[in-house]
Amino acid sequence: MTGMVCKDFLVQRKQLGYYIVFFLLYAVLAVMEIMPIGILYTMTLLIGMILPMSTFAYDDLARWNKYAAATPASRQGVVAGKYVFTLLSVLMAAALSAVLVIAVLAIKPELGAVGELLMGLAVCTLLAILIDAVILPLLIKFGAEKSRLISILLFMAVFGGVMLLGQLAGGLEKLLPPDWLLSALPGLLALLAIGSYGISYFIARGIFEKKEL
Amino acid sequence: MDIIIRNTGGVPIYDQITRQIKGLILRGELKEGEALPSMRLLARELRISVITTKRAYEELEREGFITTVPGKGCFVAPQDPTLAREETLRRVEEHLSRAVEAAKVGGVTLGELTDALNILYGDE
Amino acid sequence: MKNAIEIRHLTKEYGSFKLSDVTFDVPMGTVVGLIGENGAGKSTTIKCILNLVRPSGGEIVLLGRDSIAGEREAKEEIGVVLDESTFHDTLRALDVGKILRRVYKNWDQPFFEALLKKFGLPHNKTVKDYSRGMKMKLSIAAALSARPRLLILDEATGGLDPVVRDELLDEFLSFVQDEDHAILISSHITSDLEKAADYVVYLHKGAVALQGAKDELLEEHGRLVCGRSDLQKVDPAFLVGVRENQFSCEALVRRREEFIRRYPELSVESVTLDDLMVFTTKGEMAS
Repeated sequence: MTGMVCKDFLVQRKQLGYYIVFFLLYAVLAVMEIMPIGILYTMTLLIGMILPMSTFAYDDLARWNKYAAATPASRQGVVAGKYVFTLLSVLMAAALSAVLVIAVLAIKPELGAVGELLMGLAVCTLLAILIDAVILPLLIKFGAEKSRLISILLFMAVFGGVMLLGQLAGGLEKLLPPDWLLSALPGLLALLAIGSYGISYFIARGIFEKKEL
Repeated sequence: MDIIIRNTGGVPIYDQITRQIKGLILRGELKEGEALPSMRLLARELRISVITTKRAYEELEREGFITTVPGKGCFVAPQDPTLAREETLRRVEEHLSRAVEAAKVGGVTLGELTDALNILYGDE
Repeated sequence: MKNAIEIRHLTKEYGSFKLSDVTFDVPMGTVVGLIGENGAGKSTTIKCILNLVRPSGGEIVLLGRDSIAGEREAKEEIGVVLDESTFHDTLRALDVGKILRRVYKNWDQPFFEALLKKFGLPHNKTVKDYSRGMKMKLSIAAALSARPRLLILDEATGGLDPVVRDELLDEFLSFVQDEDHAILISSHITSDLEKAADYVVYLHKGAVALQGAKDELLEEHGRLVCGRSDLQKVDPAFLVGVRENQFSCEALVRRREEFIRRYPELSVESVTLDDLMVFTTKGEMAS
């Protein structure tokens, strides 16, 4: 399994570089107040959804799954690798966002409150995990090409929905729930996200065990 | 030690190997007790199947030309002069029967054949 | 251990295609060539061996272990090159080492680097810029560097020029010098197998049409070329398959030595694996 994770990082080396550059760019733009600071944590959401699809696309192109299943990593290792890579990517993106958010606020404290923004980040991270829990089994079953449409729709729905709610509430920053829910929501969402991710893993394993390669 | 394999000509490869090694032994180019290359090495170098080299060696052993020492390899067996003689006679008969056949087909008589033989042997 | 692979009564149904009752062994210390036309079932057989597809029936023993129960342990000792599978376009040669050393317990990095050098594979290019031959060489270098006991190659030499194929053949022959090693190679390019294989298994329409020691098969059969009237004289028991044209007939005959003794006036030539394949099919069509 570690080999599979290593592979995903190495294959996407360049892309990961570009994403980091984008992050830094948006951070600069946030400081210059050209972009809302919220963009930094919505990027986590974006990456969390795009990266897994991207790795599947690369694998399909190289007809990798056939080969990987023939190695000692086996089918189980392939699935575990995907789940670990996806989770790592989301967490790494979240960590980078957090650092940048803090940095931006250090430069321009008037842009927002650290606590609220980090909370927004946490919500986005957990949302990403939740969405991945849905996308990953689809990708395993149908491959990157076919899952693309479903994933795009999902992505647009979520992103659009978030933006829409933001508009209605008068700004993304206003999306934060009332204080009484604040303490409960993260916990609930965390439970839901992690729970779904776990269940999704077992479903995906089942799907892949049966797949003819 | 030279072993030349010809792919055309219809002579089975194992047979070509057997004959050539026998020849080397009979002519004294391979001495008693000398080690033969391993079946695998021969197969690899000549780019033929190890099954074939094995077959060749097994036949050589059956006919008493080599012996196999387990774990060590194959060695030229002590040569029985009568065995060598038998082998040579066999070869000569083989060639002669071809000459006889050609003669019969072409209408050459036994007398003419014997004359030719005398001349050829005399040239030696 | 006598056999690297033992396959018994393997069956697989795929809608219209069916692999039926395939039985053969891959003995240790040998190269077994799996030949057959496209769609004959070679890749399917290999996929069944590696559990890439699930057989409908039969059993496979891999390096002494059940191919399903002992899958993981067996795969530690199996190097694989699969048809159409390459490494990702964005990877470099050394990346492959970084990945596979975490996959194979016996991965030998110095050996891998030496092979890369031997094959002339540059360190700084990505797979995207590799020629087809280079991609194959990389896959083979990777398979060998896992230090396996068994190599399974599915159409690994297709599309490569003869020079490259010759180089690779050398590597394979080196590999089986060790009696504890074996190779199963499937190909529809029979010229490679003519040189390297010890045994051949000819798959035709999902079943084993012919199998045996390659040299014996080639020596026991012959190619007869003669006129139609001569062909009538021949005892049909000798004939495997016949091809007629306007001016002459070609036939594959079995028991060549006996045939030559019986019909010394008819000329019989050596056969190639291709002949065996083509005429065995024709024989089936004739009957």
